[in-house]
Amino acid sequence: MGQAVEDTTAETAVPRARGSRTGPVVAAARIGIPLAFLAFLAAAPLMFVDSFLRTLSTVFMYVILAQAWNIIGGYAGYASFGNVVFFGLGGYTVAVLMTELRWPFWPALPVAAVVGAVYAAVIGLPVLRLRGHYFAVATLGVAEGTREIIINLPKLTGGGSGETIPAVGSLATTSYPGNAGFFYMFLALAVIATAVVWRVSRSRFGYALRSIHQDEEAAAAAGLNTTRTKVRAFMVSGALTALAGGIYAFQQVTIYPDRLFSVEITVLMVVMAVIGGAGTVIGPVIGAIGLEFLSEYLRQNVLEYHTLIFGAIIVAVILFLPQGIVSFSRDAWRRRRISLLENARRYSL
Amino acid sequence: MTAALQTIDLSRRFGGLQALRRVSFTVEPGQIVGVIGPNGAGKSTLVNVITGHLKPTSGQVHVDGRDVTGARPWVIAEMGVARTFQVVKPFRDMTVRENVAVGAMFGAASSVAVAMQRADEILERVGLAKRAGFQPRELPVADLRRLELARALALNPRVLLIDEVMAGLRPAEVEAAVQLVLSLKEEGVTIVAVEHVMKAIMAMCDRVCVLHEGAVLSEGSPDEIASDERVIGAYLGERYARRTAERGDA
Repeated sequence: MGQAVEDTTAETAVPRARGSRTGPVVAAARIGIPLAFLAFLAAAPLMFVDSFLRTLSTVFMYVILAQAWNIIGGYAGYASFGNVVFFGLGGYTVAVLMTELRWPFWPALPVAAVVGAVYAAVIGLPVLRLRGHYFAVATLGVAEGTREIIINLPKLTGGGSGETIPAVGSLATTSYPGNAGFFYMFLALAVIATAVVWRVSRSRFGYALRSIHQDEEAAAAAGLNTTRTKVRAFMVSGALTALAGGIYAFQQVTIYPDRLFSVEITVLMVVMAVIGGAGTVIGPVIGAIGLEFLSEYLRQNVLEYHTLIFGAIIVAVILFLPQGIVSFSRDAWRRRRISLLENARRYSL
Repeated sequence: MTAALQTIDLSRRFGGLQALRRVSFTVEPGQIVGVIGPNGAGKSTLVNVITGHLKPTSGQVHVDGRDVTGARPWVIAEMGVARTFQVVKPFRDMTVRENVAVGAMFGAASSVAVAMQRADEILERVGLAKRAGFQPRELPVADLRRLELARALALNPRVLLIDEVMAGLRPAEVEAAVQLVLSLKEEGVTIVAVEHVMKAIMAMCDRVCVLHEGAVLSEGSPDEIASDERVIGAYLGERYARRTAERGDA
């Protein structure tokens, strides 16, 4: 029974084929490879130059964002196009607490998570009634609207000209952690976010989200309070995203509404989660690492065509791997057969 | 005795279409009540309004004497009322086993593992055990209907509303499904069966309610219904009446 239960609580929205077995080698690799990878990363600040460390920090920031989006967009199937609103609010919560109220960073950061979760509940209750494109557009509108509110509260937030957190000298409430410090913060939160998603994926909550994704009416008929479940998922997503925003604000020192509420950040987290594999545990990790490194490489080597080439690659990947890298690989492994063309034909709309 | 399920003057309008007109019917505990009628008579709308998937325009729904009019579907489900969907609604990216386990997961079962065990028992019962690891898209229609029923049973219902679970089944399969429904009745489950397969209705129902153009046309025992002139005219047709009469004579 134990083995059978293990099999059916597979961590993805695409269950394994019948008859597939998880051997001891695969199981060991599943735990061993991430651990070795983490040990290697923990030593990164000793090995790499500062510029690379900053790139790595950004990579892990996007792992957090993509993973947080994965909960509401990937598992529950509610494609939020306004998740940056939690990022921005988290950032402004930390900045305002540290600047106006002279709080240290560490107590301010958890407040950001609370603000993110509460805001998710407040906007989620009305907006999560909408589905599909309507939900996407509504969340996009919420994010844009919230940015305007931040801009129009200059006494509290510095308005459009930004807010600067005192980071050095006697005014600093918490001494600036530096590149290595922020690297560890983003890395730790990325690990936590991934652990949260892993835990969710094999729990009743995970099944609840997947059933809402696949047929909300049938999920409700099965006795699931779909409203409460969706709002909870949105709250978890909002809290994680707000934490990332809080760390980012301190890292940047000076923050602007246009940057913290930028649609580009939403688009990136969505694309990373989708390309890696929405509704899987490691998909968003792979997507965030892959795309952020690709983006950085293009920026350094073909600066003037960076966005064009980056966009073209994204379109190509989505065309050939619409179900994401993780699900595609699993499928290919199961069939012992890899064909991008066949895959594109099977999944294209 | 308090009725297991009761509707009082239940009406539902879709724009210009009156889908239900003051439908009042009562299901006593432990009964099997059939709901029949031509396409568009309002049978599925009735199920949807009772289970909270649609709100009634007017009228009331009572479960165990409690007014649950307009309650959300999960509230109805928590009260022990389960249903199947006429248009099957499997969770497409889950296995058959997971589909059924989800039915157990949000009510009785305390964990994923317990729900999986419960799912296995139910799959055995409805004859889907061999399909446990399959994906819904790999199943024929008859098995998808069984899956709908299995998922509803996973809720451990006291009242079960089945919406055309026998459509498209072969005669032997209909017989097996009737036996399954009767065995549920043995266990004390109250059943409302929306069905077109008259043989099944005649074999298992205690009472039959005939809907026509959204209103109750007739109500009574299966035999009374089968010989009711109005029902023959609106739904069963002369041919059915003649055939059953001949069979009765023989």
